Amino acid sequence: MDTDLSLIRNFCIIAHIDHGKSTLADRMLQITHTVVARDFRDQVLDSMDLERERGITIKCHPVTMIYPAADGRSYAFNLLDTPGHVDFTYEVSRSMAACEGALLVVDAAQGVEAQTVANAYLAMENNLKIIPVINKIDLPTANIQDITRQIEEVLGLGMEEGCAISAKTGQGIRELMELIVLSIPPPRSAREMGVTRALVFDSVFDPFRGVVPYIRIMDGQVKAGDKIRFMGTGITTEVKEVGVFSPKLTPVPVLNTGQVGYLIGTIKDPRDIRIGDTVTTGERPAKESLPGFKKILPMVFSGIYPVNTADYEKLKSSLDRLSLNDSAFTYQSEASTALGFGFRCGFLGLLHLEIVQERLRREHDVEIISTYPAVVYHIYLKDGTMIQVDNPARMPEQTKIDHIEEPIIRAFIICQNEQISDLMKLIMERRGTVEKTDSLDTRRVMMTCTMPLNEIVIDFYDYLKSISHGYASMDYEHTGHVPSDLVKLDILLNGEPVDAFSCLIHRDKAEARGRQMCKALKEVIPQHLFVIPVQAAINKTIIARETIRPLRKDVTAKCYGGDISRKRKLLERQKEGKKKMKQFGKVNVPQEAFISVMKTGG
Amino acid sequence: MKFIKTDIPRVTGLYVHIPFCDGKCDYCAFYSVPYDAVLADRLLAALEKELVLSVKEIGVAPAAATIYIGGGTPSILSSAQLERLCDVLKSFVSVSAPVEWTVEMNPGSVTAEKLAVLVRAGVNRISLGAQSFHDGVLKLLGRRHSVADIYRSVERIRLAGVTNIGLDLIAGVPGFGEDVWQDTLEQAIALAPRHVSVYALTDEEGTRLNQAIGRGDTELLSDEAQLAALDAAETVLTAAGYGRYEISNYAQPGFECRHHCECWRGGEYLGIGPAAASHAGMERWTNQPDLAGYLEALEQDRPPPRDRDPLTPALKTMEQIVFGMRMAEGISAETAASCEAVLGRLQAEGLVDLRNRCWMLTPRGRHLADYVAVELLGAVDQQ
Repeated sequence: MDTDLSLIRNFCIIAHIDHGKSTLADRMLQITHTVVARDFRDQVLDSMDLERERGITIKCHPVTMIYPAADGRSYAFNLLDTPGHVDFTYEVSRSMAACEGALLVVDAAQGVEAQTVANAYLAMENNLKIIPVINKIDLPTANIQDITRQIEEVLGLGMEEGCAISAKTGQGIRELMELIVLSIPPPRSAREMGVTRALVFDSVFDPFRGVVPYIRIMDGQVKAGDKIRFMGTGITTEVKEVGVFSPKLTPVPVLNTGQVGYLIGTIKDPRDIRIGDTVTTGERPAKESLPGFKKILPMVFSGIYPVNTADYEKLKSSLDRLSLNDSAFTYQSEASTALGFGFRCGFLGLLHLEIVQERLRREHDVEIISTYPAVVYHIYLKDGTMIQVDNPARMPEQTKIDHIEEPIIRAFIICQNEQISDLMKLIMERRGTVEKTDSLDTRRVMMTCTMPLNEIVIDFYDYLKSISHGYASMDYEHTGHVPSDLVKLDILLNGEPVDAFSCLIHRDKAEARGRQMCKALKEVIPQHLFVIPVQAAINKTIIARETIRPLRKDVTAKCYGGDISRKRKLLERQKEGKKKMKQFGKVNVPQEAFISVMKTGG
Repeated sequence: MKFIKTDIPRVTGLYVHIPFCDGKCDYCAFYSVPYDAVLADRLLAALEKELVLSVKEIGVAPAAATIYIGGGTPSILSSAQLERLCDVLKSFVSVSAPVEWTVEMNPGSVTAEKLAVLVRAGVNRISLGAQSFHDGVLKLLGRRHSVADIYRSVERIRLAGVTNIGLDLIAGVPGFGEDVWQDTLEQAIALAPRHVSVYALTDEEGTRLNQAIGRGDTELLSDEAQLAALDAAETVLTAAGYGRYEISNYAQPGFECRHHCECWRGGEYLGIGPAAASHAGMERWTNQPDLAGYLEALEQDRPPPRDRDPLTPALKTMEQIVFGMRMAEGISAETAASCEAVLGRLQAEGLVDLRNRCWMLTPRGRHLADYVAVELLGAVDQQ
């Protein structure tokens, strides 16, 4: 069975949070009579709370719609969703690689936001045909003229190729559908006859059917019975079923060039399937895989430890389950002298880290302690080799290090005019430089700046929001590593370094941070019978010190006989509290210490 | 019978809680309500019922060697009420004359008439809540009596024939110099009481002091200053012949409070009244601090609402160790065998000492008695 490629349109919708992506998708489904909109969204409801709280767009699975166009022909529209947040850039770019076009939705009242910019650039890099769509034109505050200018000036896109709509009222939707037919190119035909190549752009895990990769057939076809190979991982399997999203998984006899669908084989381990991988058939394998495949590399790392050591197994199985549907999340066991047995976890970004931590707490009910997030440093040794270090505890000896490189991001920050100076100050405090400032309209500007990733991993976003009273939006992209004067800051309790408190930090900031950390620890570590020096050190040189004075008085004045139950229980509570503390040498450290030290960031 | 033979409680103490006061002192966390004559009459009836029920429950009448009537302010009861209370207690106690029968009295409510009633019934020890010999301190603490009242009360108690007098003092009151505390100690000694209790002012939840500290209106003395005040008390009192037989308690030889000592040694006692605690057999229980609930239950012949705290042999031993350590006599090495390792460590830290096969706190250990207790409790988990 052959498919007429000219009748297929593969596209995605990209938008800033709340600019109307889901409403537009719903409206398109409705106009094409594809479904009850509810089915389309049901499966995203689970994680909705969390994702909405965190301000990211919701990812839903792809859907195929049949659109009867004005030219009298029926087109298959494959709408692929993308996670909106930059943490998931790689996944977004793979979804985009499965498309020929993108609808860039901009709110008619809000205008271009940071996420709009980052996603538009990504779509351009992936050579997608972009249709700018101004949404919510029914709003009384809609300003089509201004937004048109923003789209043209900031993004370099012409509105003559776009359209203005209201997804809510349906105004302009028909025009948009026609524009998709006319502007977005159909998939191109096979380059090498008889050779099959399909791009894995997403995958889900089904407890009954195993891993279900979502694929876009670039060349050739895939059908049940085919023996296929994933070129990146080398995994082979026999196809049991292929199908399309309409929007439920619906089996079809074959998936042809240009089509978007799923395949079911016998793959049990989600880690065997990597997004961006190329599927080829066993008999006549493709020589080259599709461009762009890379192993997803976590950018931010944090140690996750169970609060109660007895929960180690529970935590392990929770992490395992989380990783089933999140191939970007990595974990491996590690031991900290401070925290005992736990896991070193890798995340795509901070948001990803927070989502995983929240899921562990909310969905898996595990109490965890997480260590100060770290990024991946490139450590160049004097012997000419380079090692990557994501855990300050694993830093080589200072004397062996030639120089260190740290990851850098390019951030797009959109804010109101009157907030520029405050935000510039914040950016400079975080060792950033503002490369350029573009006016978006009479009241807003976009700052493009370069910043070290480790300066934003903790609380930059919180500060950004509070300085701008919630108005500023930010997105960023990774731009590589640059040399930096970084030092390892150690914290010593009673003269002993505590690995869980170590961090890599720029030399200029080390002393101030050392002082903050010592102060914070002095507040939370209880008095002991002896003096406890709390010191911060770089390379064994002490740069800050606080002293926890010895406990001299700990006695209940009054102890009437009748009081014994109550008194004993008070003492027992103290004993339980003491038991929960982590012991370093002779010093007991409560769990709050790890949290309060993290809060001293910046 | 509820208890099997080996478990027959040997109740030797009887405690009665009278939860009435004429007001609330700023630092006091003990359960009390304003005095009301009608409520007091109902309480007396209820106390008698509780005694009947409790004796039935534990299976034996208390062979009370000691009786302790505390509060609250027991002396706020009228003479007639005191007489009725004493009659009830006497009718239940299986020995005719308890060795030690204490009543707590406040300097504001000590009258010759009340004392006569008490002495006639067999009361032979009065614990007087003096707290301070400085009117400014008394005012700050929210006490409603003067220094002159203390002198008058001691005189009346002696006139009534009671020579075994204990005075309570509060150390570490903020805003007054060391000389004020020194003077309080000296005036106390000059009255030649048999017994002196010294409590450091403590920030207890639910008190006015606690609120004032929370608001930042006042703060407790530094740990060092509190310890200095407690050490000063030890110096002055021991020089005057009072032995520090427990962390907060001093007495002339032979006048240690038997009732309290028995409690601390793990002895069994019956407590009646709202908020009173009991220990009999393998159980402790504490009546809830709620007069209305107490009266309601007993007036319907039900036991009052109680919080129960069952004990195990290990827990019992542990209590003996933890509370015994607060006493000068300490605990025998045999009793403390299960804690030997921890005690050894505490000895190395200079907090406890082993003398004549008894473990006891060192002077530094007395400053850190709770720390020692928590460490000893930790030894249970290691077993």
